[in-house]
Amino acid sequence: MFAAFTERWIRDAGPEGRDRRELLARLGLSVPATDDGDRILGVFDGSERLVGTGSLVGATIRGLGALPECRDEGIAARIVSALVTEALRQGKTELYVFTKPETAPVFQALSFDLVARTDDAALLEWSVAGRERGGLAPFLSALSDAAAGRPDGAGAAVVNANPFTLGHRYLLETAAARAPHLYVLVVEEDRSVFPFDLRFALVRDGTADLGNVSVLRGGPYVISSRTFPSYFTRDDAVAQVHATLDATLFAERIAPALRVTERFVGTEPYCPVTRTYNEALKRVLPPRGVRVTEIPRVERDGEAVSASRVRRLIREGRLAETRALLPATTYDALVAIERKKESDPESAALWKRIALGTGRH
Amino acid sequence: MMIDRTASAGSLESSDAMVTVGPHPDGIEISVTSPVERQFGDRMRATAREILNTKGVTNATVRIDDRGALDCTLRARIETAVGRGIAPR
Repeated sequence: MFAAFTERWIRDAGPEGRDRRELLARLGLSVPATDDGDRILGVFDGSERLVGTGSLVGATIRGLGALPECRDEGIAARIVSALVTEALRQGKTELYVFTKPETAPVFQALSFDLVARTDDAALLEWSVAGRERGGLAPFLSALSDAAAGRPDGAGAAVVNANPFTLGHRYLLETAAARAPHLYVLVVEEDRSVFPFDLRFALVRDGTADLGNVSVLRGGPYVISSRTFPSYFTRDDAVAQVHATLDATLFAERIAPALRVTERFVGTEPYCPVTRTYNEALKRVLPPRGVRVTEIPRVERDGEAVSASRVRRLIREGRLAETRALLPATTYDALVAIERKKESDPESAALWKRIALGTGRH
Repeated sequence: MMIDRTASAGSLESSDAMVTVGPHPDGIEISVTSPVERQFGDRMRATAREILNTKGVTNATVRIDDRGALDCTLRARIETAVGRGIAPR
């Protein structure tokens, strides 16, 4: 049957937005929240009935759905084409899809590449640079390069280090003593109180005396808004789905690139999302050849040393008290920023961000 | 001449091709996805190269997502995308 479909951008508020929410609900799909700048496409049949929809949320294609009776008529291709074209018009060069695993083939047929798939979710990507030069492939080859000439069976740890504390130091020191080489991947997503460049420098400086440690950028595939959006949005309900996907991507793509066979994590006393993540690692990694070793947290004064405790002290104007919780490299860096805040505008802005900062990680 | 912004033409619909062009620091890189990449991938790359040469473009990233387009369709899509990538703002 040939049907004359028309497509147009629709608004979330208004009758068409309501039809869209109904359509997605009927298909058992969640309705993505949209912001200004995000676009929602509607496809209508000859009698102006909404038969398909999809949206562009940031650089992510979400909420793609079509009535089952219309699916054979290339609606998905039509919607995705319009969304990709719009994303490119907005200047985006890399696009992502976070979807159900059974929908992954639809996107693969439309030239999206699978990054990772679990029982509950699939992550796919599309880059203007192509599948060899854009997206995951160059990230993995950079990791392989970093691991060239280093021993097999290495260990890995992922830290946000917001900021780098004695807790992180103890974890990495213990891990480095057990593994022939240790790769420390610093979460690169810049949504934490401490900016990435500073977090990275503090980890590097705080482990410089450990001869078998390499500190690497986590890039967009290690606890990032792509692989693990709920880590940053505090959406606990979907955290397990994201955690499992991130763990799968680590086990199947990142660990082999670094020739890593052991992942070290700290026990998590406070944060439920991090705890969920640790559980996912313990479930996903071992069957894929990567052991998970949990290292107990260091305590000071009966309380675990954590970056959130450090941030709280700083917020309360008690910088001096963080000294007991931080390696000298971190403490000295913080004191230096605080001192320079009167004279140097960059330090002032940084200090303001740190001293006012709130956030989970 | 250089491609100085991302631009595209065409679609991912059956019998069409979506051609995307973007900047490249030095030279020309062309990637192709197609159900017939093995048979016709090189020809599609050659077509893109020829069009870039004709327009005097020396720096460009070109991505061709082919969905079974005829040669004439593909040419039209490449020419349009390249034209949009170098058109004055």
